[in-house]
Parts: sequence; C-alpha cells; structure tokens
Amino acid sequence: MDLPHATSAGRDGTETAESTGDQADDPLPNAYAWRRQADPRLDARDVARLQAAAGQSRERIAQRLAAAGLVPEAREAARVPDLDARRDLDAGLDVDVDTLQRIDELHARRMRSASPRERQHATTVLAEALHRIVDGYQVGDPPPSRLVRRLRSVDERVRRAYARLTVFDDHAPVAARWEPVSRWVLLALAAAGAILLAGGYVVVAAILIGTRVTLAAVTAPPAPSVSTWRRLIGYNPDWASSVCSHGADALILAGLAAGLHASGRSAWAALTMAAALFGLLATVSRIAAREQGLRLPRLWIERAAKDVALTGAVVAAAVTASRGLGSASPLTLVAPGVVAAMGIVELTRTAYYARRRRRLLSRAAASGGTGDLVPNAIVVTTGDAIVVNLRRSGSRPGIFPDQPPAGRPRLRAVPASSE
Amino acid sequence: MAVDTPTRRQTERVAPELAVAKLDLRDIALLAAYEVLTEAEQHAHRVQYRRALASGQRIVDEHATAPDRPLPEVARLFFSFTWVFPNLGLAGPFFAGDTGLLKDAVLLAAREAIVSGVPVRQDFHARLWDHICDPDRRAEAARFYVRHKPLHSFPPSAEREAIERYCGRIDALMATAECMPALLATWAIERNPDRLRDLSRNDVKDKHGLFEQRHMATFLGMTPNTLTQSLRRLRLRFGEEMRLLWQVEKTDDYDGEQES
Repeated sequence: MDLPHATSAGRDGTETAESTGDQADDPLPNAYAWRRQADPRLDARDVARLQAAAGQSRERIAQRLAAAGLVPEAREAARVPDLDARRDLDAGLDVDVDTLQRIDELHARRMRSASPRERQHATTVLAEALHRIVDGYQVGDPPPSRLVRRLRSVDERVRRAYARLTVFDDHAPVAARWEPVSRWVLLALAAAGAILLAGGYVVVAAILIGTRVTLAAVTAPPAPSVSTWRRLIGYNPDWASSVCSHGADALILAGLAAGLHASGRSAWAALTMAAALFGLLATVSRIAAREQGLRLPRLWIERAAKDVALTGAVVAAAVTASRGLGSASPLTLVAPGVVAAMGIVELTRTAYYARRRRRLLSRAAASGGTGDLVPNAIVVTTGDAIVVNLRRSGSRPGIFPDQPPAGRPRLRAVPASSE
Repeated sequence: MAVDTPTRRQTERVAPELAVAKLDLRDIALLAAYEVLTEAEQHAHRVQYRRALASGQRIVDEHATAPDRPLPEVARLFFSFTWVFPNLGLAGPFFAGDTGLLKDAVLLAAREAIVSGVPVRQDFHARLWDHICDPDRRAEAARFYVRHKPLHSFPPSAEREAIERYCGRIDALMATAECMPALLATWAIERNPDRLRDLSRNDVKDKHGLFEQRHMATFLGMTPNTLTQSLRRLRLRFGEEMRLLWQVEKTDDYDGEQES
C-alpha cells in the first residue's frame, strides 16, 4: 500500500513483519488442514448436492457470463463503447462516502431521536434517499402478476396521452410563472363551479369545471421547485398541489350533492356526498402511506377517470336540466360512481403494496433466522411505486474493530520521526 | 555393491496431479467432473470420457510417479492445487477461509464445461465473481483486509474525533468502492507473490484458475487499464485520508512551536 506517513517500525528501528503488512492471521490453512481440504473423493451425497447446485446456479452464471461479454452471441450486446468513459469509479467515491455517512446518520436519527416528529421525518427522507440510490437498478424481486403489469402499461399510455396535450415546455418562462399560481387558480375554478352547482346554475358550472380540466391538462404545470424560502417556511408545494387537486374534486361532488339536495333528490345527494368523502379518504390513505415508506404516486388512470366523469356528469346535467338539478338524468350519478370506484382502486393498490412489503419482510426475517443477514433496508422498485422497508436490528458492523484485541490498545501511535 | 541411481527419465517424473497438467483442460474437466453428471449426461459424453481417461493414463505412465489414487481423483487434486488453493489466498476472505465453496465452484464449472461447452476457466471465474459480489461476503472480506497494519497507524496527537472520522471514511470507502474486490485481490496477490510464481511453470501457466485482475476487469465491464487506474486512485485516496489525519499532528506541532 502506498500510504504516506503510515509506516510502523520496531522500537529499534528495524522493520517488523507487521510493518510490511504481513498478518498473523493469513487465510492460508495449515498443512493438516490443506491435506484434509484437498481430499478429492466424492460420495453420493456430494454428487447429489453438486447436481442440485448446478441446476440452481446455471441461469445466474449464464447471466454473469453474458454481462461480461464472455458468451459469443451476447458479446456484441454486452459491449458498450463508452462504458469506461462513463464509469469513472473514483469520481463517484466522494459522493458515495458522503451518502453512506448521511444514511447512517439518518438511520441513527430514526432509531434514537427523542422526537417522534424527527423520527418520522428521518424515515421519510431515508426512504427517499434509498429510492434515489436503487432507482434504475434491477432488484431481485419476483415480477408482479400479469394483471398488475397490464394495468401499468395502460397507466403509462394515459400518461403519454396527457403529455401530448401539454403545450407548455417545462423550461419556458411562462411555465415558471404559471406554476406557483396554477394550483390555486384551478382550485378557485372548482370552488366556483361547486358553488354554482349548489345554486343550480348548472350550465355556468359545467363551463367552469370543463375549463378547469382543460386548463390543467393543457398547461400541465411543471414539478414545483423547492426554493430556499419554501424550505425555510416548511411549505411543501407537492402537498399543496395534492390537496388542491383532490380537494377540488371533492368540492365539485359536494356542490353537486348540495344541488341535488336542493332539488329534492336527497338519496342521490347522499350517495354523491358519500362518494366524495370516500374518494377523499382513499386518497388520504394513499398519501399517508408515504409516511410509512410506501411511495405510491397518483395513477394517471385515476386522474383521467375523474376528469372525464366529473366533467361529463356536470355537462350531462347541464344538457338535460338547464336550471336546477331536479330533472337531471341518472347519468349525473356516473361521477360519484367513478369516484367511489377509483377510491376502491386506491385502497386496493395500497393494500397490495403493503402486502408485498410484508412478504418481503417475512422473507428477510426467515433469512435472518438462518444467519446474521438482517437487512438494513429492503427497497423494491415496482415500476409505478416503490416499496421501502426500513429495518435495522442493530448498528451496521464497522470494518474497523470496535473492541481492541485483549491486551492491546485501540490506537497504535506511530512516532512522527518515522515519517 | 549395487547403487540405486535414478535414471534421467525417473528424475523427470513429477507427482501425478502435476503431470495431468499436460492434458487438455477439457479432458481434465471430464476426468474430474464425470461423476457429477447425471446418467443421461454420462451416457452422452461416455466416449469423450474414455478418450480422456486413456490420454490421462498415458500421461501418468510417461511422466508421473506411481499414482496412489484413481485418475478422476488425481484430476480433482490438480484442480485443488492450481484452482482452489491459489484463489483461497486471493478471494479466501470472501469465503471466510473455507475451501468448500471454491471446490464446489470448480467442480460445477467443470461440469458446465462438459455439458454446455463454456470454457471451464470462464465459468469458474463467473462463479467466483458471483460469490464476491455478494454484499455480505464483501463486507466480511473488507473487514479482513482492513487489518492491513498501515491503516491502523495513528499519529499520537490525533484526537478521538479525528480518528473516528478517519475510521468512518475508510470504512465507507472500503464498503462502497466498486473496484473493491479487485483491489482486495490485487492486494492479496502482492502479499503472496509465491503463489503466482508457482503457477508460472510451463505446464500450468495457461491452465491455472487464479482469478487475476485482468479477468476481474472483464466482469466489472471495463478494460484492465481502467481498473488499474481506478485502483491506483483508490489507494491514493487511502493515502489522502491518512494524510488528513496526520495534519492533526502537524498542526499541533506548529501550535507548540508558536507557543514556545
């Protein structure tokens, strides 16, 4: 090792075996152990064990060989021309070390902090950090069922459709100006629409609600930036956007329910109001799951369904009953129906990933029972969500020994003169 | 009085497990791992096995001392001495010094070489790499290699906090550096040059299974030169951490001089 200043020498100045890096506990076994370990005989049990191991490891080793470009047919596919250029190993080292130290600190905070608020916050930040680390890595997790995969692809198609509607570029100045006000403008439109619905002005309400949906889809405000002042006052724009969006949907349904009640359709009103509350509850449960480490972003299918259903129901009401909701068609009830259905989807989704996490935990616990493999964290990327489990039974064992060997000091001072 | 003078031919004879090195590597694999094949696979490769057996017998008759065990066991002994034990010094800490996994890896690689035709050396290296990449084994190995004495030489005036910080950073460096398995293995080779010298004899030069740095570069997906440069820079980082720690003492000395 080319370590400057780090030379140790005996008291008489002679180099000891230790100073050259030789270790007393070299991994070489002694002669007896060599003879015993070199025994080349195989019994029937060995053969059976090796045959089983060959079957288990074949696919994994084939993947290793293919990744290294050692299989002729995979050689071309494995070769990435600029791989070396991108793989600047030591440039990332500082970041790695700092990240690891920060993660350790976060672990310590979430385990030992006296403040429950700080523990919870550390858990959230740690989950986010781990997500960023594992994002893009293949995690050895069984693939989800075919139904889930199909739903994901549908969701992805809806996302692309929304992206095609957008006219703003993320970096355009107008988008930056629109972003801080967008959520409040959209909420105001929804609130005004709800009040008008309650008052029986269905046509105007339908125009306002249609405008809201169109404006949200066409402008598609970029992801809110976390500016210094926002961080200082603890304002989370993501949270505000979420509240505005889902609160607005619930407000529209509440307005519809009030209008129906005023027109004498109390049963419809009750159903609509119940759907609004249920939808809100399901959304809150999904968002609250984030605090437990379940990263579940909003489904695009859900957004599209609510946009179409709410606008469609109000427009249908406006067409069939220009003043008052007393003569509205039963199509009006499609909106609360869709919201309730989406609520069920939200709850099912949260339960699905919670169950998935539980299964991973029990698997980890089982592996921890056989050895000392207690994972510090289980992170599973699932395409539209990330399941993060934080579990730490103790501190990560350090590479440096915590306890010095008996009779030896923890630190070994080296005289500066040996430099 | 008759003197039992060995003939030239007799003095050239070597131990059977070294003599079989003259065989083709695939033949050695056939001899060693034929028993591990299933019955159907044995049936499919019976002719090749018999041919390897005949070649092996001829080599042993011509070049080896009297064998004390059957030829398949001699072939497995060859693998033990030129594939398992050289790698034990290199990757042993990843296996907690246990040869069992390495021996299994050799036999499995030999078996796959017979069945699928993959070069036995590449398959064996892939298996070693698979073990080495396991994070828990890697942490265990790092813990072993960090016992390297110079990493534990602290200046007398270094404060506890500075040493804790130093230990933490070296700990993190060892745990996170992507080229760490290669670094550890290179380190092991440097500390045990005899093992490489033993394997440089003509017979086994191209047939030993030592997992050298150039082989690891392939599995890391980079050229050997890039890996060498990365290792050099990582070592410099260790030196830099140590230098930072030693600045503590230099500062103390400087303060002492100023006060006096």
